[in-house]
Amino acid sequence: MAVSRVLSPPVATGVLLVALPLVFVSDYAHSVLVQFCVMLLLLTGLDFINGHARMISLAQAGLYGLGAYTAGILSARSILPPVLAFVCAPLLVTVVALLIGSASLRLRATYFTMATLAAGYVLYLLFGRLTWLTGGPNGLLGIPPLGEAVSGTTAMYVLAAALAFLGVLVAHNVASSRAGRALRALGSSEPAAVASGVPAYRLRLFAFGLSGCYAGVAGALQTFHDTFVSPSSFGFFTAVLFVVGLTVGGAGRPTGPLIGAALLTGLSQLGTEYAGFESLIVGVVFLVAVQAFPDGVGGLTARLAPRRAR
Amino acid sequence: MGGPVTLLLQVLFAGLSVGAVYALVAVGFGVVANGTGAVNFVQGEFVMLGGVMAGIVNEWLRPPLVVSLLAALAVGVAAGLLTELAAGRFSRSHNADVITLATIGLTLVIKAVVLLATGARTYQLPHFLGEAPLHVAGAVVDTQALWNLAVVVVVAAALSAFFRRTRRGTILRAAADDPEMVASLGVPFRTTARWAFVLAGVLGALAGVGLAPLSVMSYDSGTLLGLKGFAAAMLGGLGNLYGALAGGLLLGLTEAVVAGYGSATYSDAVAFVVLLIVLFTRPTGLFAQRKAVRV
Amino acid sequence: MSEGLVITGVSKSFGGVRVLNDVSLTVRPAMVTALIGPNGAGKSTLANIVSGFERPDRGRIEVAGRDLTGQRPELRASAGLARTFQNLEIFKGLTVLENVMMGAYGRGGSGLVGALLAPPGARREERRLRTAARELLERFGLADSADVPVESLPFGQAKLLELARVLALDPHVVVLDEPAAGLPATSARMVGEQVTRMARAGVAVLLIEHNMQLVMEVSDHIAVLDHGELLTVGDPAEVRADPRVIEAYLGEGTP
Repeated sequence: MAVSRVLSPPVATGVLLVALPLVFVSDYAHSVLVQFCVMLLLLTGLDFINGHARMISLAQAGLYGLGAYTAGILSARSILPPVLAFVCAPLLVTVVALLIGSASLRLRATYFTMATLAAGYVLYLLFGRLTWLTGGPNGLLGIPPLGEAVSGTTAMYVLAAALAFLGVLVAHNVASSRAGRALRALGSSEPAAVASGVPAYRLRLFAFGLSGCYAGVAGALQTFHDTFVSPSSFGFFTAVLFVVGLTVGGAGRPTGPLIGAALLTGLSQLGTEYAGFESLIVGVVFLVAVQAFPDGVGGLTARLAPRRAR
Repeated sequence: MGGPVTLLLQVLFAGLSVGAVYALVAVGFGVVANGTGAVNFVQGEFVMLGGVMAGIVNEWLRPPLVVSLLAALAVGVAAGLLTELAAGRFSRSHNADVITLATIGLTLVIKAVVLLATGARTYQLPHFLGEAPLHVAGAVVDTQALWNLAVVVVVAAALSAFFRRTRRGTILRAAADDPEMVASLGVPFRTTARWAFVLAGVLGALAGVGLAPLSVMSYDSGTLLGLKGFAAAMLGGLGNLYGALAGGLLLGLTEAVVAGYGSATYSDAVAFVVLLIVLFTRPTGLFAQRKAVRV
Repeated sequence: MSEGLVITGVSKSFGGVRVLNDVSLTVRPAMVTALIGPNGAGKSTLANIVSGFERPDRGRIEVAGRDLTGQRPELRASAGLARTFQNLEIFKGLTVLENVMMGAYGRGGSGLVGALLAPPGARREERRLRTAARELLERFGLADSADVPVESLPFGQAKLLELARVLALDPHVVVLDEPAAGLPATSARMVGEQVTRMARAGVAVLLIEHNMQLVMEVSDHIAVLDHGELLTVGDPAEVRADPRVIEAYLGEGTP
């Protein structure tokens, strides 16, 4: 217990984010570390709804893509200067997430998951089909760099690291707060939480909106790092990958997103995205994790009798 | 007889043809939902496995189509058994949500295995009733449409009798909603789950075989199909046999209408929009089978 | 009579089966009112209706003078009503202390913005909450386990923890759904002591229990429910001797 107080997620993350680029100094390494920051933001955001609230969302990939495309389209079409485009992305994604959530969270757990899957997939389809807006399956080109101050991989990393750290810090605040505790209580035993006065729907909506905000930031970051967006990173496989990565890292646990992000970043370095073996390993690990950890993912989805009977 | 009627007829048959496939998939979802309470994410993969298996056998052996069909059904049975094993057997409480979650992971595994085994090759089957298309009132109709519809009718009749008249069928139909009744009959959950998944596997394989003449099958074909089938199932009312049929045909027709009169690029989105509309307005579906889809 | 819990004319049917029929009961402050009855009598349904988890077909639920009928269960806590659950609902994944702190949620506090920013006011409030929760744990003899994950508590202590949680709300009314179920005699007695103490502090206690010894020891009034009908309400001696009550329990063991 004492160890976890010293190595709280913000501290651990801060240390890692400062130390890693000093150990791995090449430009390529820093680029990978930017990926890590993006992944950390995505999983930290997802953890609010998947981990704390224990409602599995499969929309994170789609929301991530929405953030990426918003930043990309606004800047590539010169609608807004890049910096403002960056800021607008999470704002838009949060609004969309709240819209999706407001309807989906009326449903019971498994149906909520299906609704998020459908919503995320619709977004993915739109990325590929609205060619006049998004550039279609070939992707969006012509994204300007973010700015003079952030030219160069290392400078981009500093921005990514700062954002990731901020994300982890806010998540830590939430987890230690009255509302965060209530969210976890809700995910643990809904009847007792509701009897204690916890507004179930509102709190879950908060968690889902937050997950969207984080996804928006991650997407914008990714866009300006790559100066390119394409639909391929935002489909069903990625959505599942996020859930898998977070689950294996430890959904709802303080360092879960951090471990999950490390795992996913490492995995992405091993091969091309849909290579058979990567898929296979990920799937098998997930299968085992889902069933073997009683309080991990098993506890994640176990619904107690009173709720089912309703 | 002019353009508009011809187009309408073509759209109609195309819609029914694909809709029949969706209907079979939807029934598969319903069977697992009724038997275990879980949403079977690998239902689409069952379809893919059936289609790919039939395609492989057809390519290698060039046997009578019946043989390919049987091979597909065998794969369906095997896949169903393996799914129950992987998703249900090892979980401590036979909890529907865990099973659902496990099937999500299982889709990755199945796709990966097929990808590694076939190397992303595509397969297709010849038309069952001959390659020559029919001409109905000026419209060119794929004969596969007739086969698929016939299969659906036969399957529906067979399943209806099975669910209503046999003990196993009654148990399968009610298990998720009345687990105490099933337990009191002395039937363990795992047995029911196994039957549900095997049946779902067979239905999926049938759907795959019915689809393979219409469009190419590869390791990747399962996801979209599964999701569309699920949308059809929810539209009709998850777990309701007639609902699944109605939902599947309706979805197929809607897709064909959008593709035929609108733009083909958006036809894939139809299923998801339908799903979202159903979930948000009438989640129990047209024939309201499942209770409490809403919190 | 504007304090305590007033149940008026509550009826409830499930799928054509009448589970509760015109049940009226008053649970006064500073008193323990027990609700007993054979299995299937409708006690849990009544508990669910009182706490908002079910809606009555007819009737009213009033807490401290406020009509709460038909309101969502989330609003009960802020109205001063807390409950425990027959199946032991505790917050796994939280510590023992945090479980108790959750009981106080209904009293209000910092909201979503405070969660994101962690301003000093919210942090002070957290410290106060923590201290108050620790004091409650002391009272229940659980202070040593405060920072331990709640899953590691033995069953008896977990049952006591639920009691601590409801007290954290500082409620007007408490509904206890079989707080001594599955407990050995010594633990059941501890539960009884806490229930008595609660009532002496002014809380209106509705105690649903099968443990007759406990019921006889702590109750000021006993209401007997059978097949959804309220057979009788009276003090322990009266109820014990009532032939209708004895008959209702035939086959269940006499009270």
